Amino acid sequence: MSQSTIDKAQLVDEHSDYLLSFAMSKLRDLDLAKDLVQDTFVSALSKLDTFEQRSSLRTWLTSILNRKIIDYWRKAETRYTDPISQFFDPESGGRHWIINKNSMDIETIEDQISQEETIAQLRNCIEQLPDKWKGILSSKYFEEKPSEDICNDFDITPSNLWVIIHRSKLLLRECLKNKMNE
Amino acid sequence: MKNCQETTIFVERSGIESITIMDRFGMRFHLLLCRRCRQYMRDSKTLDRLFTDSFNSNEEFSFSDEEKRVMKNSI
Repeated sequence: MSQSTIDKAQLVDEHSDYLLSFAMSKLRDLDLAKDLVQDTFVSALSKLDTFEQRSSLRTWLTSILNRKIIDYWRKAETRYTDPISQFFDPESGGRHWIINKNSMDIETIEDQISQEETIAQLRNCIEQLPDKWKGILSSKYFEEKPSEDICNDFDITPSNLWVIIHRSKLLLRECLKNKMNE
Repeated sequence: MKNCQETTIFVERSGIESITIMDRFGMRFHLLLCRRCRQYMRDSKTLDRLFTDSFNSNEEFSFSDEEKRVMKNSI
């Protein structure tokens, strides 16, 4: 297929909203998602000769977009500056917990405000995590990707992976519990 | 004896890959004695369950007509 045989307007009309929804399910950043969809069209048009008609055009476009999302994640900052000493006392040699006011279980919160509301609150808390961490958690818990694939996609080590999950959960449960005290 | 920070990292690690018997024993022993780490473990499991729904987004997004017009001209 050569470039002359494809109608750009039709390409945008038929696939842009689908690609945007796909990007948003992974990125949760509308401006970034829109940019990557546009980049996808540009890339696709520049390498139309590599498109093999065995797959549908949409599948091919989605794979280009997915590659762009992964490239974005690999470049994104892994480190998070919030100190772990927020949760564990570095003064106590054993690094014990710093006891906070609200020590109720998340399940207790769920019982009090309903599962639906807890998930709504949790989504707000998740928004505050670094982009890369959101992508990692989404790949693991929603897409249920194998850890090995996650490490490859995000260019992290297995040790990074469990530390990021640990830190995310510490931050998220703190955030949920703080919301209950508001 | 593992400290609280190490123990709770092991809780996550053991959910991802297999850990040695000694590490598992150290983690279990600490959890047996530490109420706060047991609470972390319960919260961790609750979050695992809630995450699936929290990250599930079937929301549809679309470009505005104006954005589509601009995009058609710029690609």
